Amino acid sequence: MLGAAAFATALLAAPLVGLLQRAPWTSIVRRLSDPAVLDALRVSLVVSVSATAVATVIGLPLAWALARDALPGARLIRSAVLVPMVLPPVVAGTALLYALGRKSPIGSRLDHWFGITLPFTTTGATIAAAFVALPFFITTVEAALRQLGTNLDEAAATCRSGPLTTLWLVTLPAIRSAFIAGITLTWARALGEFGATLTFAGSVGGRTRTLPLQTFVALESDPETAIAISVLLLAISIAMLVALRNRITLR
Amino acid sequence: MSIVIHGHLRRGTLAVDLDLEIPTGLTTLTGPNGVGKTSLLRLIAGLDALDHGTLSINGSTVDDPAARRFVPAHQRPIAMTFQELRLFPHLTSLDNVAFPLRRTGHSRTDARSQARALLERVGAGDISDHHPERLSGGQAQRVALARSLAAQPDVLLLDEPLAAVDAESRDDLRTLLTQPDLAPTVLWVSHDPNDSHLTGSRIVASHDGIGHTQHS
Repeated sequence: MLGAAAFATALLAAPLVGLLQRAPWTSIVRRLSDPAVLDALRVSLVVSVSATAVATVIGLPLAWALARDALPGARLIRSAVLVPMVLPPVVAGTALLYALGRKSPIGSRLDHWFGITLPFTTTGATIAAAFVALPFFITTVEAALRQLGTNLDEAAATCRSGPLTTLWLVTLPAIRSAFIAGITLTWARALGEFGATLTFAGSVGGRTRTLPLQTFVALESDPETAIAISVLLLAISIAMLVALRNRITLR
Repeated sequence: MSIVIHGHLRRGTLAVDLDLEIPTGLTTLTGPNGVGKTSLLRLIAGLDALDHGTLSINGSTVDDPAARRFVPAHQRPIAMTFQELRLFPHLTSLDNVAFPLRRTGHSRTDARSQARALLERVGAGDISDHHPERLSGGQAQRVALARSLAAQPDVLLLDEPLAAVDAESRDDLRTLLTQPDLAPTVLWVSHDPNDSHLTGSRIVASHDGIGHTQHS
């Protein structure tokens, strides 16, 4: 038993140790300030923050409706919410391409009527990231809302507070920890997105090439830079774990 | 009559026939557990709806399923203290009490000064900066009462307002709750037969339903 546990620990730790041991510490700042990397950093920030905002805005009503059993077919919807979590990202990207691509029914109308093209654009990369990250927000927030129950909502209603005011001033503050945890997990997933983005939005420098894609590109030509970016992403992930260590367990 | 209810409420295994008129002033509603006393309060508050029948408050129909009319809780002239109090955990006592005032259009400063006065009135002026988790049962009940008064209700609904209160402050709070100027109509629910000896009207709930107001 202990041997197997030790092996599992080693399996989890070895890649990280290998990465840190190979990291070009003396040149890491120079490598990370390379224009291509800075471009990818900018794209990553724009895409991950926008995707998180989109997931929050469209996820909150759904999480609320699911937690309050306000939707018919909730079980089906709840399963649908989990699909992006278990779907291989490349399949998600392919599905998005055929749903929103220029030749798809929706994509062709967007193109025709509004001149909007999604594939190979920053907006497309944002949609791909939002799609795969949305379940993290919805499941976290729905669980917290369900656990909170309706007691405080009812109390607020008897205090002259309408439903939206109550949501904003009572319900969300009461689940603040889980709400922040949901947003952080969503952002982390969006930041790390690779497969769906590459498939749906491609790897266009300065537009859709995020840090993970830049890492993959750099591995071919400049492995040291790839390692430097990986260390940066690893540092962000660890910082997030530290920030969330209370919130996730408290949930 | 302040509140007129004729109808039927079914919630889970509970089925209550309602046929009563509640006058202005203080009315106590007593009866054993499980006969629908809290359900009646929730119905008047607008937290539950009648299955059929009608409910009117001060002459205005607020629940009439046949006419597809249902006024939601936040638009009814009511306030309610819950048995489990339900103070907002992220707000201080003062901000809990200021909450209904802010919702009815008072400025932040105005709401806070009125809230402070209400806390003084219920004997909780010294705990205005405390969050609910730090309050004793009696203190929390006082804050909950102040919050309900801040909604300036025509009808004040009190669900077992002495249940969470320690014995020594119970008489004190009972005096406070029987002051005539809390609200035009006060409906006090209690399973404690002692509370039915309060002045005012009286309703006794039983498994046969809730009805017949007795005037004392």
